[in-house]
Amino acid sequence: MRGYVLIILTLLGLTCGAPAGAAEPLPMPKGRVILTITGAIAQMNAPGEARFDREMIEALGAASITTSSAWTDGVQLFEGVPLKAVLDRVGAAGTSMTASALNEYEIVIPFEDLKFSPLLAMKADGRVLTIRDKGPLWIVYPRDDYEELRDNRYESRWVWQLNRLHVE
Amino acid sequence: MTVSLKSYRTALVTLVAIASMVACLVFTVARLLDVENDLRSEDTHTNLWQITQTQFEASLLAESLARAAAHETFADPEQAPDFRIAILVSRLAVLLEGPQARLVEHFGHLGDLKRSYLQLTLAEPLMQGPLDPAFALQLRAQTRGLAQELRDIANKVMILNREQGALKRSMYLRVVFESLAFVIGIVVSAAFLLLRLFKGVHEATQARRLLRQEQELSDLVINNISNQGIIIFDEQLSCLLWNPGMETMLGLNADNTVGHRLQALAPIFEKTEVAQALTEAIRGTSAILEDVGLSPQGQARCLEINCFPLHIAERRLGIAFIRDITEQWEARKQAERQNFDLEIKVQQRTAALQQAERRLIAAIETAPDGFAAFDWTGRLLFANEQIRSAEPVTVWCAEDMTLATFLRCFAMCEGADERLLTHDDTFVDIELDLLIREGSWAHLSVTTVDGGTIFVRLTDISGYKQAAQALQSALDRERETTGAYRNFVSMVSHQFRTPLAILDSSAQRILRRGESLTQDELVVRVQRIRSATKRLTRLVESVLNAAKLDAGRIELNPASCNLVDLVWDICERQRELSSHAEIRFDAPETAVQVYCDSILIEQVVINLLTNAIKYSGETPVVEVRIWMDGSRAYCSVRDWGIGIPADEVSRIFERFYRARTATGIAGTGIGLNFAQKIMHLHGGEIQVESYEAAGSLFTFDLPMSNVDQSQQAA
Repeated sequence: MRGYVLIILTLLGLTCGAPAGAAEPLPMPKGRVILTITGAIAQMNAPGEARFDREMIEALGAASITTSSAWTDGVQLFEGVPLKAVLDRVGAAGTSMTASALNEYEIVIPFEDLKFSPLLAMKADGRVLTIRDKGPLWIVYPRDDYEELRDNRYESRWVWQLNRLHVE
Repeated sequence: MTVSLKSYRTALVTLVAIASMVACLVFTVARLLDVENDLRSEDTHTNLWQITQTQFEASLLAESLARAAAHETFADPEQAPDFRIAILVSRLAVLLEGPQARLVEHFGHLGDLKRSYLQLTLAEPLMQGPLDPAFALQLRAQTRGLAQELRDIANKVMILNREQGALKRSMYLRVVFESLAFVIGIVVSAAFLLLRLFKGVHEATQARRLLRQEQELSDLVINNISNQGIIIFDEQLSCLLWNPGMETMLGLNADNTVGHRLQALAPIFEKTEVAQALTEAIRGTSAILEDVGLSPQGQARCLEINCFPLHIAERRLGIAFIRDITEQWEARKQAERQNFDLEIKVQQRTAALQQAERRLIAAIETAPDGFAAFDWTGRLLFANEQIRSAEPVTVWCAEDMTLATFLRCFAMCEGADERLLTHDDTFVDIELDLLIREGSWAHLSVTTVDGGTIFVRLTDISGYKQAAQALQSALDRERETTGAYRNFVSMVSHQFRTPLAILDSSAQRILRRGESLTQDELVVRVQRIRSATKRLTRLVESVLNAAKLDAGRIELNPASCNLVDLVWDICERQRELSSHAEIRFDAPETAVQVYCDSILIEQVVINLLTNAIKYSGETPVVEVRIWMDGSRAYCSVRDWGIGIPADEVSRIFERFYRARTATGIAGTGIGLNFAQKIMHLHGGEIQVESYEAAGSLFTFDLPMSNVDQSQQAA
C-alpha cells in the first residue's frame, strides 16, 4: 500500500513539477489517429481524450529494445517510443491503464511495469509495422533483460495493434 | 576418551540429520521449481485461444465479404473487409510462427494455413478499391474454409490439451507425493533435531543443576573445614577464596582478604619459594612444600602448603591447601636427631670393626700359616699369601679357587684320603698331615664354623716331622740296641756258659785227680779244654764282627769273581769238616761272573751252609744251587731240617735273635744278621722260605758283571 502511495506521490510530483513539454498543451493530430488515451490524464486535445498521430508519437522520443518474443522465433530489434514518455506527455495520473487493440484485445497494465521501460514499438527490424504486422503500435517489454518478464502475465501485456489506453 | 567419542558421534548424528533435512528441502524445492517451470511454459491454452481468435477473425472477414458482395456500405471502417483482412492476416501470421507454428505442424495443417495466408496476402491489395462481388464471394468461401479448418485444428488442440492435462496431473500428483515424502523427511529430521535440542537443553539444565549442587557442596566443605586453610587465587595471585580455616591459621578473615594480592596479606606468601609454587600452580604444575615460621601467637610452627592447578570456566586458577603440621614436624625433627646420633654411633662401631678386621687380616697375612675362608657354597672369601703360594695351589688352582678345587689340589699329596675328593654339603671337618713335596710336610685343617663359613688352615710341619722322624729313628735304634743287648746277654749266658762249664769241669777233674790222672785221660781233658776254648774264640770273633759291622768298619771291596768256583770251594771244605753231611751241588757248567767282595760273600755262603747242616739233625742233606736270571745271579741253600716257625720267619735276620726251634743248638744269632747286612751292602738280599719240621730255603742274589767290569776290577 505504501508502495502505491509512493508511486502516486512520485507521479504527482512528476505531474506538478513536470517538464516544459508536459505543461504545453497537446497539439491536434494532423494525420490519422493511431492512439487514443483516455481516463485520468491532464493533457487532452479532444473532449476527454488525448489523440496521437504517428508524427506526434515519434516526436516524443526514440528508444529501442532488442529481444525475443513469445510469438516469434529469434531476436528482433524493436524501435519506437518509451511508453512512459507518452504517458508523461499526457500527464497520466493513475495506477494502471487498460490497453485495447484493434482486434478488441484488452488487458490491464499496472504502472509498475514502467520500471521495465516498455516500448511502444513502431518498427521491427527496421520495418514499419502495419496492422497486418501487429502494428502500428506494439507494446514491447525487454523480455531478454529481465528473467521475471518471461512469464505469462507479462507476455499477455505485449499488446499489438494497440490503439487505446485508458488510465485509471 | 569415551566421552569425547560419544560427543563426536552425537555431533556426527546431528550433522547427518541436518544434512538430510537440507537435502529433503532442496529436493522438494527443486521438484516444486520443476512444476513451476512447467506451469510457466504452459501455453497450449493460449495457442487454442490464438486459433479460435483467428477462426473468429476469419468468420468476421467472411461476414464482411458477404456484406461487401451485397454492396452494403460500412459505417464503421473497422467492419470493412480491408480492415478485417489485415486483422486476420496478423492473426494468421502468429499461427505460422514460433511455438504455434510447431503445434499446427504437429497436426499437419501448416501447409494449408500457409496457402491461405498467401491467398489472403494476395487478396489484400484488392480490398482497397470497390470490390468485385464474385471475387468477394469466392474469397468469402475460401475464408469460411479457413475458419472450418481452424475449427478442426482447435478441436485437435483441445483434445491434445486434455491428454496433456491428464499427463500433467499425474505428473503433478507424483511430484506432490514426492514432495510429501521429502516433507516427511524434513519433519522427521526436524523432529530429531528438536529432540536433540530438547535433550541437549535438558542435559545442560541437569549439568547446571549438578554443578550448582557440587558448588554448594564444595562451598559447604570449604567453609566448614576449620583445621585446614584453603585459598583460591588467580594469575595475579589475587585471592578469590579465603576459608575460615585460613582465618584461624593466619588471623585474617575473608572480608579483608578476598580481592587482595596474597603477598600483601601475609608474610608467608612473600617468601620466594611459596610465591613460586603458587605461580607454578597457575601454570599447571602441582607442588607441595613446608614452611617453618611463627604463628600469630609468636610460637614456632610448620605449615604444609599443597598447591594445585584449578580450571574453572576457562580460567586458569590455583588452589592451595594449608595445614598446620607442627606436631609431625617436631616429631620428625626429634626422630632426625636420634637418627643422626644413631648414625654416628654406627659409624664409630663400623670404624672399630673395620679396624679390628684390618688387624685380623694383617695378622692372618703375616701369620706363618696359610689361611683361607670359604662361604657355605664353597666360594672363596679370603686367602692369605701363604696359602696362595702353597705348591699344590699354585700348580693346580691358582686362578679359580673354590673349596672343591682347593681340596682337590691336595688330594694327590701323600697322606691325603678320599674325603678331599668327596667333599659335599654335609661337610665334616678334616685334619690331615700331607707331604706337599719332598721333605716338606703340611698340616691341613678344614673346619666349619657357625654360619657355614669354612676355614682352612695350612701349617708347615716339616720341622716337626723331621724331628719326629729323627726321634723315631733314634727310638728304633735304641730299641734295637736294647733288644740286641738283651739278646746278647741271653746268647752269652747260654752260649758262653757251656764252654766255660766244660773248661771248669775239665780243670776240676784234672785238679782232683792230680797224680792219678793218666796220660790219655789228660789228653782227653786237654782236648776238651781246647775245643771249648776254640768255641769261645769263635763266639768272640762273631761278636767282634758284629761290632765291626755296627761300627761301620767293614769295607766293601767288590771285584768280579766266578760264583760257581767260590761256592764249589766252600762246599768242598765243608764236606771235609762235616763228613756226616751230604752236600749236593748244582750249578751251570759255565762260569757265573758276579761283581762282589768275594771274602764277604764266602762268609755268607759258609753261614748259610753251616746253618743248613747244623739244623738238620743226625743226617743232614743240603742242596746248593746256582742259576742266572736276567742280569742277576742267584744262589740257594736248601735243607730238610727242623725249619723255622711261620711266626718267626720275619725275625730271624735280627741280631741275636734265635728261633725257638733252635733251642739246644749252639748259635749266637749273629750269623744271619751279619750275612743279611753283607748282602745289603752288595745291593742284594737274602730271601727265606721255611716251614717248621720241613726245612728251609735261603736264596740270595748278586748282580752279574760283564767282562769289561771284571777287567776294570782287576
